[in-house]
Amino acid sequence: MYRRPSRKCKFAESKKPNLNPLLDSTFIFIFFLLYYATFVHFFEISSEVPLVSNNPPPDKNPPLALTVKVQPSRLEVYTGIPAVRQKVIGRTNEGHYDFAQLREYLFALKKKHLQENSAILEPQDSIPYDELVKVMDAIRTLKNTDEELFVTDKNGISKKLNELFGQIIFGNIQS
Amino acid sequence: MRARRTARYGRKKKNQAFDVDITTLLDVLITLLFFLSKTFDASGITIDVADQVRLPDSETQSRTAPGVMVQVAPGMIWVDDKVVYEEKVTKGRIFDMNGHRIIPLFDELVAKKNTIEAVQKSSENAQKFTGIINLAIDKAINYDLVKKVMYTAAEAGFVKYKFVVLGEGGGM
Repeated sequence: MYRRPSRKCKFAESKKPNLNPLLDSTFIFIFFLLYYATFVHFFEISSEVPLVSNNPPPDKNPPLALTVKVQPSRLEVYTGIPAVRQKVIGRTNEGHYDFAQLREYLFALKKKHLQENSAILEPQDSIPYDELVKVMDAIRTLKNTDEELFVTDKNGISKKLNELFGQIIFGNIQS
Repeated sequence: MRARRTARYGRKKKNQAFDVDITTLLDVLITLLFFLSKTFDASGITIDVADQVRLPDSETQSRTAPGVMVQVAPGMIWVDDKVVYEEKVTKGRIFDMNGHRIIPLFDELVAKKNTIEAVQKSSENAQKFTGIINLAIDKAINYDLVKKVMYTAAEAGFVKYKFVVLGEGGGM
């Protein structure tokens, strides 16, 4: 049978950790993070000036020469040299271009031409910039839900593609 | 005697230091840390967009690169922070080359390019001219003006366009 502890017996008090250094470092860290905090994130869509060359293409295969003409009422997809119209995509009932149809067509095209990465965009003058960005997104972006595409580089290494036609060139800047 | 004193004044209290419970404060600080870590941007690139420029939303994930910044709002054009064209103020000839080139924008961009190249010659460590131009264009602007801005930039030697857009949801 256990004896009752005597009244003189004192249990060792649990020692609290010294939190002052932790608090100091946390406060300094918070000020540092506040200084570098950005609440609006800016991103970019790249494009380059089109270069005209009279030299024949280096590859034996004819280039895809994908061209998307943006008209106020529809999108027209052309391929080949000289350009042949392949697809006409209208607007949906909500008034937007049917980007789902455009992406579906471009995805099928990309599967056939995995090495191709550029698309020529030829919008009409009256197209608002906002719609143009949406068209560029549809041409460039591969979504997480899309089937994964792989391309083999010169060294024989298979590489996953992150973009559909990532290099967009405006074909009618001088017109 | 001791027993009498205790009976008179009650039990003697020990003089203890005032103990503050900082658990809640720590919780708040840690939450704040996580929130700020999420908004932390280590790129060091700051972009000041004018209030008049409403940027379009995009699905792109590429972060902005450093370069000369051109902003276009209805009736106004800036190069970095300087207004180079204001519809109501700017007088004289605005366009040349069959209406393709914006003269005030071209002059300012050429001056920028010359400055960068002069600095580049004077110092080996100076930032080199990359030909990159960041274009922050209002979403209501028609392609007609976008085209002229791109043409002018190309004429001035800026051949790599970076269209500045907002990420999905327009930021946070």
